[in-house]
Amino acid sequence: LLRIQQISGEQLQIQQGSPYPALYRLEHQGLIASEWGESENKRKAKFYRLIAAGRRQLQSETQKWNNMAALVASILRTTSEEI
Amino acid sequence: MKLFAQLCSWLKWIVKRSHLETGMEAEVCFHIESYAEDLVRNGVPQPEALRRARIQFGAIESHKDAIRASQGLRLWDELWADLGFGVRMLRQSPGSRSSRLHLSRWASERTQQFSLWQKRPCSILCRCRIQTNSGSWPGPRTTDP
Repeated sequence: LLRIQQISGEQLQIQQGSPYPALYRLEHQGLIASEWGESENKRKAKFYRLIAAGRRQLQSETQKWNNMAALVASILRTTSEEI
Repeated sequence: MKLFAQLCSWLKWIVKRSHLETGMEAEVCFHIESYAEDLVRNGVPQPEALRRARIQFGAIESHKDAIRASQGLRLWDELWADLGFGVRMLRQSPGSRSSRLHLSRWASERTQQFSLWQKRPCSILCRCRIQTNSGSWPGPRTTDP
């Protein structure tokens, strides 16, 4: 969470507990896998990792997002003379 | 493939429910405690850090409910609760018309819900939620548009 906030330049504020339903949903859909392990401070912790199906889904979703963003950007760039 | 993964996950939750619920609890506790430790490292006193971590995590039960819903367990839980209610009614008055009527209504509603689930999972989840909030059984007999 901290990393996501850092990447977004502190623009994105995510509620601490909100990623869990999303993580469990992704695992339920077979897009990520989880396993229990030991954290840096020697405590039992759950680790999630992206698996092949998830990587494919991510690629497809990224493509869709880029297409949509490009489409909206091209509409916004259009000047009144071009219409 | 995705459907197969969902079915496996759903079965895993049904079979190992208590084990997975314990894991979910442990995961949430770990998150809160780790966040509190972060705050302590930044100079916040221990009790205040734990309090802040709990507040910023949000309502634990509502997150856990959302997790259960994401696994498709809400429908299953409601199904069992309804069946239990029907059976209790039958035990109290085995031959009464009302208990038989309730059970037959339960069966028809659940069959309808399962068939709708196949077509529109989201709409059926919303419908189940409305029924739970209303607190009535067998709930409003609404039909999807």
